[in-house]
Amino acid sequence: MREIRDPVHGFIHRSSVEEEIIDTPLFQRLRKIKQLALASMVYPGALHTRFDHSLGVMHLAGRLSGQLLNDNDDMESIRIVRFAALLHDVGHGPFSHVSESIVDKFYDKEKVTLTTDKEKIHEIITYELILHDDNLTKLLGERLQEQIVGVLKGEWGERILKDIISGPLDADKQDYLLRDSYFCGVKYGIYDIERLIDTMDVKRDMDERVLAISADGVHTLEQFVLAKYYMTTQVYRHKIRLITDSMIIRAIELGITKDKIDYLCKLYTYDGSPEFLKEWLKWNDEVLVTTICSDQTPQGYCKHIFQRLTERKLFKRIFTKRIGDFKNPVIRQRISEEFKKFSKDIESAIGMHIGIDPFLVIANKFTIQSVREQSRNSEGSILVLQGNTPDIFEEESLLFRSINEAEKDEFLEVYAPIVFKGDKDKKVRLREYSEQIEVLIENVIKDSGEEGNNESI
Amino acid sequence: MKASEVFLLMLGEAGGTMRGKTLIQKKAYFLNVLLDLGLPYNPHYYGPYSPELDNSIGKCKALGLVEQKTVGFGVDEETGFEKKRFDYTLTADGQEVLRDLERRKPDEYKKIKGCLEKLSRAGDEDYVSLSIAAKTYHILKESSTAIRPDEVANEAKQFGWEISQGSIDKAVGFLSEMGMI
Repeated sequence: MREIRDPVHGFIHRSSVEEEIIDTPLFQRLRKIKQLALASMVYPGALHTRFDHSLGVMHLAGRLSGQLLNDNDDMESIRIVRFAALLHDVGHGPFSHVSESIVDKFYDKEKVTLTTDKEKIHEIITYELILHDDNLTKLLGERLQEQIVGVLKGEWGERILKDIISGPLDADKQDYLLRDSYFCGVKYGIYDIERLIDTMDVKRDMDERVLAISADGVHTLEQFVLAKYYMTTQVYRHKIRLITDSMIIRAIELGITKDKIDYLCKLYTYDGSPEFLKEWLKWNDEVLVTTICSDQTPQGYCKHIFQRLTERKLFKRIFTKRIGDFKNPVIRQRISEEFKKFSKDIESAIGMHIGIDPFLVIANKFTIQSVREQSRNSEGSILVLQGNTPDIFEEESLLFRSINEAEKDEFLEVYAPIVFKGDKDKKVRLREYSEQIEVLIENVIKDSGEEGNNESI
Repeated sequence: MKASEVFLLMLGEAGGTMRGKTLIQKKAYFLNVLLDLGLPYNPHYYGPYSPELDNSIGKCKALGLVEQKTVGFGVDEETGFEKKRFDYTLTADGQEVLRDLERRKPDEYKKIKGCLEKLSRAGDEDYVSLSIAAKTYHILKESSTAIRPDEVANEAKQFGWEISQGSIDKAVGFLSEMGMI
C-alpha cells in the first residue's frame, strides 16, 4: 500500500492497481475540474478539485467497507467498492454539476433513448467512460469494469454496497462535507466522522445486508445531517454561487442555441458514440474558459457572459421570493411544479419591462430541503438499531422529531446585468422590481393556460 | 401527473385528511403500480419508498397546501419515548389547487380517483397490512416470482417485523381483491 497525504483525512492508502488507475489520463483530468465550480468567487479557498475528492471518497468507502463488510468472502466486494468510489466522478464535465444540466438537456434524442426517468446523461457518460477506457480495461479487465459500473448503478451486489456509494450516509457526502468546509474556510460541514463510522452497522433485510447505525450513533448522525443542511444554506446555495452557476449555464446554452458555436454543440450533444467520449475528455474548467474567451470564439452571448465572469462583473439578483409567499395558491403550485414551462416567458416579460435583453435575464428556481429531509437523501430513511425492530432515524432522534418539516423552502430568483448607481438607487430599484416582477410572473402563468413555453432557450 | 398532484388528489379522495406517511407511501405505491404513474420507488426495510413522493409532501406543506399534525399514539415499550405519527390535512388553498387540477387535467384526475376508490374498497386504512402487501408484491415482482397467497405469507414472515397473522391475512386479502395475486 502506498500513501498520499490528504489535508482532510491524513494519509490515504492505495493499492498498486489503484495507484495505476490514479495515474491514467482519465483520472488525472479530474485535477482540472473544480469541486465547486466558481464558488471561489465568494470563498477564495474553494479551489479544490474532483481529483482530491475522489481520493477521499475511495478512502472513506474503504473505511466504511472495513466497518460493515466482515464476512470472509467480502474482500472482493471491498476492492470493487473502492474502485467504484475512486471512479465515481470521472464523467464530470467542465465546472462539475453545471455541465450536468446542459448535457442532460442537449443530448441527441434521436440516437439516445433513456429507459427510465431516473437515467441521467451525465451518469451514462461516467459509466461509458469506465466501461470503454482502454487503460482501465488493461488494469481491471472487462468483468471488473462491469461490476464497478454495476455498483455505481446500484445493480450489482447487496444493497449495503449501494448504501456505501450512494445512500443517505455514503462516502461521497462524508467526504465532500468535510472537504468543502476545509477549503471554503467554514465550519458548517464539520461532524464527528470517527464516531459516525464507528457506530455504523449492518441490518439484515431478507437475504441482503443494509446499512444502519447503532442507537449510540444517533447524536453523531444528527450532527452529520445538520452539517449537510448548513452547508446547503451557507455554501451550496450561497447567492453568488447561484448567480455564477446560472451565468455559466446560460452562457453555454446561448453559445449552443444562438451563437451556434461548433465546439460547444459537439461537446454537449451526447450521442452515445466513442467520438463523443474522446471529445468530452479534452475539456475541463480552464480549457473551456480560455477557449470561449479567445479569438477562436466570435463575439456573442456566450463570450460576453464568460468575459463578465472572468472579470467578476456578475449579474445582480433583482428578485427573490419564497414560492410559498405568492398569494395565489394555484400560482404557487404551478411555479413549484411547472416552472420550466414558464421560465422563458417570465424572462421575456421581465426583460421587456426593465429594458434588458431577455436572453440575459435568468429566472432560477431552487430548493433548500428541510433538515428532516436532509437525513433521508433520495434513498429512504436511515435505520437505527434499537432492540429487535429497527427504528427510523427521524423518529428515534429527539432533536429531529421536534423539527418542523415545513422548513423546506423553494425560492424563485431573477438575475440580470443591472448596474446600480449607489446604495440608495439599489434599494429603491430593488423594491420596485420586487413588486413589478411578482405581478409579471403571475400574469405569465395566468395567461399561459395549460401549455406554457417549455423551450427555455 | 406530478407526485405532489397525486398526493393532493389522494388527500381529497380520503375526505381531506390522511393518517401517517406510511399509509400515504403504500397507497401511492399501488396507485403507481396499477396506473403506471412513473413514480420511482426504492426498496426499503419497511417496504417500497418513493423519495419523490416524500419530497412532494414537504413541498405541499411549504406551499401551504396541506397542514401537518403530529399525533402521539402510545409509548414505545423499549425506549420509553412517545410514538408519533404525522397526519396531513388539505388546507383551503390546497382545495383550491385541487379544483384547478380537476379543471385542467380531468381525464387523469378521473382515472386516479377511480383507482383510489377501488383501493379503498379492497382494504381499510391499515398501514401495516398495506406495507406487508407492498413489500411482498415488490420483492416477488422484482424477482419475477409467481405471486401466490402462500408466497406472500412466507415472504412476510421473513421480514423481521413484529406482525400478526391477522395483518398478513389482510395483506393477502387486499392483493386478492385487487386482482394482483
